[in-house]
This record gives sequence, structure tokens and C-alpha cells, in this order.
Amino acid sequence: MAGIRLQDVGKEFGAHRALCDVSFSIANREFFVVVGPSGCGKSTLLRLLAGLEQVSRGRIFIGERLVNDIPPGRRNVAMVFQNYALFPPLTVFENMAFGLRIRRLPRREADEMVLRTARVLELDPLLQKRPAQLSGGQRQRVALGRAMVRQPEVFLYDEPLSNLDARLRSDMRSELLRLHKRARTTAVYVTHDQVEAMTLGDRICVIRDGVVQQVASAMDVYHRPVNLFVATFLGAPPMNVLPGRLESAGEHCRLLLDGGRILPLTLAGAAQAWRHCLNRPVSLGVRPEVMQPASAENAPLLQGAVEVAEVTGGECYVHFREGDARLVARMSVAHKPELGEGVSFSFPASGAHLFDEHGRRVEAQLAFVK
Amino acid sequence: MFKFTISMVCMAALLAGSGGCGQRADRSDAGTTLVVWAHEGQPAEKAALQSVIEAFNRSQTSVAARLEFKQEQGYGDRVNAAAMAGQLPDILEVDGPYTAHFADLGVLQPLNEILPPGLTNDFLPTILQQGSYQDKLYTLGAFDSTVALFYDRARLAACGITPPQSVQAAWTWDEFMAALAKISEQYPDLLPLETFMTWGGEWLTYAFLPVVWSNGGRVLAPDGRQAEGYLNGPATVAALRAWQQLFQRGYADPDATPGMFQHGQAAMALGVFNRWPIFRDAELDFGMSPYPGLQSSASPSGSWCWGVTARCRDTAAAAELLQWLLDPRQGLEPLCRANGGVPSRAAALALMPDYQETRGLFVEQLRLTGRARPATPRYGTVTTEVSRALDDIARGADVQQTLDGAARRIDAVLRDAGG
Amino acid sequence: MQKHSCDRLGQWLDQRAGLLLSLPALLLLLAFVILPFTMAVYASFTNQSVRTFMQPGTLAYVGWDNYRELLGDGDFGQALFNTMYFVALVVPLQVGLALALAVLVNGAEMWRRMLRISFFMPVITSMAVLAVVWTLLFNPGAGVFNTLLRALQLSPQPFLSSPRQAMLCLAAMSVWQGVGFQMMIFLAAMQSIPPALYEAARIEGAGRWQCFRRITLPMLKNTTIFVVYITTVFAFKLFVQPHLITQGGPRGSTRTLILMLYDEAFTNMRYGKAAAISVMFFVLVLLVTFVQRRLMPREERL
Repeated sequence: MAGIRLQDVGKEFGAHRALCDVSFSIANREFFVVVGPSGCGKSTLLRLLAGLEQVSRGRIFIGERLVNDIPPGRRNVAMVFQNYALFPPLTVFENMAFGLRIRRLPRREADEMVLRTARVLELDPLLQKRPAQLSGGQRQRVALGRAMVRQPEVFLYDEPLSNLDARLRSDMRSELLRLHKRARTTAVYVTHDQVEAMTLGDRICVIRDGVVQQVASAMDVYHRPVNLFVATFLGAPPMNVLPGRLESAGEHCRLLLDGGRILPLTLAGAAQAWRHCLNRPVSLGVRPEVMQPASAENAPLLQGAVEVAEVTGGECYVHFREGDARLVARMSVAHKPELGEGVSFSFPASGAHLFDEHGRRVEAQLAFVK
Repeated sequence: MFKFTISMVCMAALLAGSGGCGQRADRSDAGTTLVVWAHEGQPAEKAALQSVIEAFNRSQTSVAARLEFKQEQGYGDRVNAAAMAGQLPDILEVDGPYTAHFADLGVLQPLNEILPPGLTNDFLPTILQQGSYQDKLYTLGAFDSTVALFYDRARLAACGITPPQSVQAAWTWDEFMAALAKISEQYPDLLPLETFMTWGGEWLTYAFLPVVWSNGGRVLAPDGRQAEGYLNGPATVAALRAWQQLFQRGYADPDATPGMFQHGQAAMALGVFNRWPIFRDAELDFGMSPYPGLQSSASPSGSWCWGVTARCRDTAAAAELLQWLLDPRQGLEPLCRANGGVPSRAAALALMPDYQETRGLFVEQLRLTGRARPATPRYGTVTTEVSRALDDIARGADVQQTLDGAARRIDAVLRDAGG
Repeated sequence: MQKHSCDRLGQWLDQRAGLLLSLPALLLLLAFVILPFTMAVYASFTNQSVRTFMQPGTLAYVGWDNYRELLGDGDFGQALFNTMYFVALVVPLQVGLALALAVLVNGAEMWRRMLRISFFMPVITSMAVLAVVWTLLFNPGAGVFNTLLRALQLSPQPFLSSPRQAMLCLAAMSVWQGVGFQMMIFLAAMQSIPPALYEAARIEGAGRWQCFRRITLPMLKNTTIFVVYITTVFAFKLFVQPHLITQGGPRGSTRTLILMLYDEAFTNMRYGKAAAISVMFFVLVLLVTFVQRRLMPREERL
């Protein structure tokens, strides 16, 4: 079994720079998700791992093996494509057996392996059909089956669920996890869907414009985003961003929000982590779900008039404007306000994130001064 | 396929019973308009004919001729289609050997009744032979053609060969072959005789049938109904075996690119009359000798000629136009000067002393040994089969066997053509 | 009321839309294919000729005479053989070569445009021009091919002058002339194969040859069936090349059925017999197509 290691990997297409100095390691049997907006280079990364593209710079190891010059067929990886890439003239059975036939495995052994995999994926009744006769979900399973039959060391998934409808997608997510646990292999999964990223990944790699932003567990990426991009990319609706300025006021600090509101703060933690922000522009990030309606104990910190109120079942997202900032707060549907109604929210300082003028996370514990 | 489409459309028109005729002569008070179809020849020839017709239209007021040129390629098919669709003109130019075909179909009417008696007195015999079918005259041409043996004076002199200059003294086949043998010995890198074989088709029939005739051979029986026993008869077979020797011995090459004599790569050439100005312009020092023969002498003849269609009602007007076209001064001289053809009337030749001087051999040969190609309603079939047979024979095919096949195919068609 | 009748009209139109839309095509088919063919079948049982047109009284029903004459005639047999020989030579050669060229052109990214044009040029060039050029190339004396053979110390060939080689020469020339057309069809089909299929195959371990054999070929199956059909029909219709280059010779070795048909109609002017040839030709092509359908795999929806 094999982990994956990338060292300073870069890739250019002509003048276009697709990936820039990518370095990280993926542990054996890890489910590693690469996420980012479309065009960020995440698919290129996957294709480099598969060997479908050659790196411009850097080195890729699968296991202990440097694979830069090893063709796709000998990297012992399998790939599941967004459009499944099943072979239309072949039956499901032959599609799954394709790699084994190429490798000239004894026919009996190969058939045995296909049947075993088909049973796991419950594809038995479809084996003699052609891809054109299958539904999208069935094709997806066949594509998975084709990847699994060979028992490769690494699975590469290129947005495999994006062509499925929402219901099927969530079923397939749990199915994928089940199969991953069972197969005990390494998986690299590319997606632009943050829900898939959060639910599937042991670790998540967030990429933007060919540059890796953060590689961390789902919880870390969500709760300790390294920068504003990661903070706003993951989470729906995205994190509220309040631009402002941090000023020192004696032993405290004051956060002057652009709308004019002043939040008195204390910053705890290693002072060198936050001192450079003093008297500089900063941003305060607050996720919609930590916002609470203001009350006697919780003094109102943000307020405005309701512009939109989206109901998503038991909850409701209230969009309002504080100064120039458009903000969203989550609240119970029971307290859903009317359009135009004035609302005021509070949030615990521990649930807020501070970013410096370059959008980088400031490691400090915030507390409001009473 | 175009031709096929045309005749399909014509057939459809005919079946529908609509024999349209928009183009024919109509006599109004002002006079008669005659529609004339001619093949579209070389630019000079075309312009000459145009001005002859214009001169005719200016010369009088009762008859107006309207000239329409039709492409030479497929001219015969076009006339056939027009005949079937009933859309013929009044005056029709036809390629000489097809006279019998159009006469038999009833496309042409005999000229004997139309033209004044005595008009044909000074015409070349070949023109009259070509224009006749079953004892009636259907066409008359303004000029004729023939093939002579062109030779390179210097080279032949170097071989000690002096080709005969008069038709009476024409080489026999043996003398001809002996001369060729000498040339090929003296000039191994030279083609002894250019034959323009790659022109194929009608050229082969036209240029080489005289070899058959000079041996007493024929293509068809004298009544024109049968090829069996004639095209494959002993006289024809013997003649073409002799002819085949030209190629077998390497004196001539069935695949030689035309123009070898012109470029000094051949010692002699069996060339048609209009090679003369080309060789002259190439500044070759060449002479001309009559067409050689086996037992006797024979030489090619034939050309485009004029007929009056059966649809023409105003035959008097047609006669007037024909006499103008065939008039030595008004018609023949300008046309012959334009295309270099042999004037078909002695009276015209008298007007062109320069022609008599330089190409008198053509005239003499046509008068004494010229012979028209066989007159048969299925000339197209005959010439196709004969030319294919000649091509195969030149390439070494068995003469008897080849001619047997050609005769059989011709007879199958002649039987169907009935009569 | 009015709305109701509108509905009814709409319904009527809906039901007959297929028929109405194909009506123009059907009418053209009727006027230019079915009607003339029916006329040809009729004509083939008569002595129709240029004469029967000019003298209508002479037209007569002759029963199977035209067919009997054809079948008893060595020339028809030879033309039939020549045609089948040409088809047998050209179809596999042209389809195979077209596929090979398509692979070549598809693979050559830099030169694709130029190669595509150069292989397609002969298709759009007038056959009359090509006939002259190839006659010169094949010329036994001064032709390029023999000059080459001599330069390579090989013995020169008679090519078009030889009854044995003439049809081979025409086949070679026809393949060269027509192959670009089939290549374009293959190329279009190849370019519609999703690249992901090749990527998937590469990851499964397939090399170039395996990709071609296991993906390109099966994906081109329907196209190949189509190309074989049209190439066969084109090959059967061989006419212009022998008409212009060899006039059916030497010794009848390049006389095809269509050339014979042309001769009967336009040289011999026996339309009845020509019609009989065209009917026989039709039946022959029908038969061959039928046999092909039985022998070849069926087209499939993918």
C-alpha cells in the first residue's frame, strides 16, 4: 500500500501556470480531498498523479517510487472520471475486465475478480448490459467497479459525483466511504463541492489559482481557516466578513468597523502573532451559525434591516446589511423575521476569526470588553 | 452522366408527346430566319465562320442566318438529343462520317433536289463520297483533310533515303518498312515514325484504315450491313498484321507522347494536314511524302460538312445559304485560310495559289487516293470498335482474334439497327 | 368553435408531420429515381433505340431478348468480372488506407491541417485533369513510375498497356483519388470519440496499439460499416477513369458495366439493351449489398 508525496510540483500549459510549487504528503489509506473553485488546478493535480500529464517541475512519489517518468498504466492507480469514461462498445462485464485483459491475466482469474467486485457493488444483474442502457447512477457504479477490480494502490476521483442528482449524490457519498474503508487504499478526490469535501475527506487540500492554501483536517479547515479565501470558500452560506481597523486603546484594543461601529476587544495569546495588526486594517470573520439574536445578556453587536430570509427547513438564513457589509445569520425558523424588519445580532468573540490586512489568519483569542 | 440525363429528359419529353419546336425557320413578311448549328472549332476557324455568315446576312435581305456554336465535345450526342426532342436547327454541321447516321435517322434531307444541278462538279471526290448515303447526297463540306508522311529532310538524306514526292510514286509498304529499318539502324535513339496513337478514338480509324483499304480490305460489306468476313476477312487481317509490325519492330510507339517529330525526336510522322503549319512554325526542315500503301494506295479523308435538316421548310433559303457557305470566294477561301483545310472545290484552290504550292500533295492525294470512312448508320459503333481493335493490335494483340470480336460486336448492333 | 377547429387542424398536422416533411424528398425521389427506373425497366423489354424515337412505328416489345443477349454475350461477362475485380480490389484497399490515413492525420497534431488538405485535394479535383496526369505518370516510356523503377534498377512495367495491369493501375489511381473522402469520414468519427476514453484506457494500462484496437476500432464500427457500403457502391459505378484513361482497353480489360452501358446507349444507341444493363446492374448492386449486410456485423447504437 502506498502514500503519495509531492515535492515542489509545478505545471505550466504554455504561458498558463496551472500549478505552482505544490508540496504535500498523503498518508497511506488516507481519503484526501482536493477542493477549489473551477480552474484552480485541482484536476491538473489529479492528472499529474495519474500520469496523464507530465510535471513541468518537481517530483511525485507514489509509495517510495518516483513516478515522474512512469506511464499511467504502470503507476498502479485507478481513476474514476467525471463522465465515467466507460467504453460504449463493451458490456459492463468487459468494461470492468478491461484492465485485467490488457494485463493478460488468466481469463478465469480475471472473470472471478470481476464477479467479486460486481457483487460488492451490486452490479450482478447489469453485467451483460452496455453503458448506453444504464442510468447515470449505474454508470457511476460501473466506473467505480472498473477502478476497483484491479485493486490498485491509489484511487483517483475526478468529480465523480457531479453528474448525479442530489439524492443519489448523498447516497454515493456514503457508499464511497464504505468502499474506501473496505478497500483500505489511498484515495485522492477532486471536487468543487465543499459538502463532499467536508464529509469525505480525512484531510482537505484547498487550492486557489494553482497555489495550495491549506492542507488540514475538515475540522481544522473549517474552524481554523488560514486565510480569508479558505474561510469564505468552505461553509454555506459563507462566513461573514466585516472589514475594519484594529486600534490599540490602552491595555485593550478597539475594532473600528467600516460601518462606524466600535467593538472593544482584548487579544490574548502570543503577542507577536497579532501585534503587527495594531493600527492596521483587518477583517473580522463570523460564520452565520454563531450569530445569535441579541438579548439582555447578549448586547447587540450587528444590526440592520432584513433583505432576504431563506428558509431551509428547520432553520432560516437572514440576510441583512450592516453599514456597507451584507451579512447572513442563521436562526431558528420559529423566530423568522419579516422583510424589512429591524434585526440585531450578537456573537461570541470566541466564534470570530481575525484576519490581517493581507487576509492571513491572526492567531489570537478574542474577547469582548464588557 | 450529363449525356444520360439529357436523353432521359428528352425521352420524358417525347413520351409526354410534346414535340416542341421553338428554334426552326419561320417565314414572316420580312423573310426567312435560318438557325445554323456549327461545332465550336479553333478560335480562328470560329471567327471565320462567324464573318462568312455575317457577310451572307449583309449580302441580301430575304434570308437571315442565325449561327449557334455547340461544343465539339459531345456534339453528336447533342444533335441526337435534339433530333429525338424535335428541336433541330435548319442548317446542321455534321462530322463527315456521321452523314449516314443522320441521313438514316431522317435528320437530314437529300441535297440533290435542293441545290442547283452542276454545283457539285468541281468538288473533291472524297467530299462527295463522304456526303452520300444510299445514292443520295446529304452533306457538302467546305474543306477536306488528309494525312501525309512528314519527314526530316536532313536525317533521311543522311540515311540515303529519298521519299517519293508524287502520289503515283508513293512508297509500297515494303519500301516504307525498309526505310524505317534504315532509320532505326542509323538513329537508334530516334523514334523512326510518330503515329500520334495516344490521341486514340477517331484518329485511329481515320488515320489507319487506308492501310486496310490499300490491301483491298474493308470494314463493312459493300451494302454496309455486315462486318463479319470483311473487318475480320483475310485482306484486312493481312493489312493490319503488316501495320502491327510498325510497333512490333519498334518503328512506332503506341505510348509515345505527341509532339516528337515537332521536337526533333522522330524521323518521320504520319501527320494530319494541320500539322503542316505547326512543323513550319517549329522551323523544321521537313518534306512530305504520300501515304504509303500495300497492294495499292489509299489515304484518309473527311471533315465537318453542311446538311439541311428535314425540319427545314424553306429549302430555297437553305440552298441560298449553302451556296454562300460553299462559294469559292465567299465561303471556302476564308474558312480554309482559317483552319488550313484542303479547299473542297477546284475553283477555290485556284484562288489560293500559295496553298497549291506548299500543300499541293494534300490535294493530289485526296483526288487520287482519298477515301471516305464507311458510310453506315452506326458509324459510332464502327469507329469505337475499330479504334479499340487498332489500339489493341498496336499493343500486340492477336489480329484475327481482335478483329473477330470487333466484327461480332459491330454486327450485333447493325442487326438491331435494321433498315 | 374556432379554437376547436384550430386544434383539429393542429392535430391533423401533428399526425401527418412526418409524411408532410418528407414529401418534397419523396417527390424528387419519384421524379428522378423511381420514375426513370420504371421507364428503364419498361425500356429493357423493348427494342428502343435512336431509330424507334425517330420512327415511332418501329418500337416493339422484345420480351427477354435483351437480357438473353446480354447473358449469352462474353462481353457482359467480362464487364461483370472487371467490375467485381475492381470492387474487390478497391473496397478493402480504400477503406483500410482511409482508416490508416485518418489515424496518421489524427495523430499528427502539428501537420493535421496540411495533411488533411493534401489527402482531400484529389477528391475535389476534376477527374478529367487527374486522368491526364495519371496517364502521363503511367506512360510506359517516359512516365514517372517507370523512370523511378529504372532508377531503382527494376524492370519497367507496361502499366495501362497491359491487360493484366491496366485494372490494377486504375484501382491504384482510384484509391488515391477517393481515399481522402473516406478518410475525412473516419477522421470526423475519430474526433468525436471522447478523449477521456483513451485516458481511462491508458490508466488501465493500454498502449497505443491497444487503444487503437480496443477503443478506436470498436468506436468506428458504425462508421466503418457505412464507409464500406458507400465505397462499394462508388466502386461499382466505376466509369470516368476507364472512359477517359483506357477507353475500356486494352483488350476490354477495363471495360466495366457502366462503361458498357454508356457504349450501348451513346455509341450503339440501343437504349433497350442499355436499359437491360442498368436493370442488371441495379439487381447486382442490390444483391451485393444484401450479401454484405448478411456478412457484416450490424450497426449498433452506442
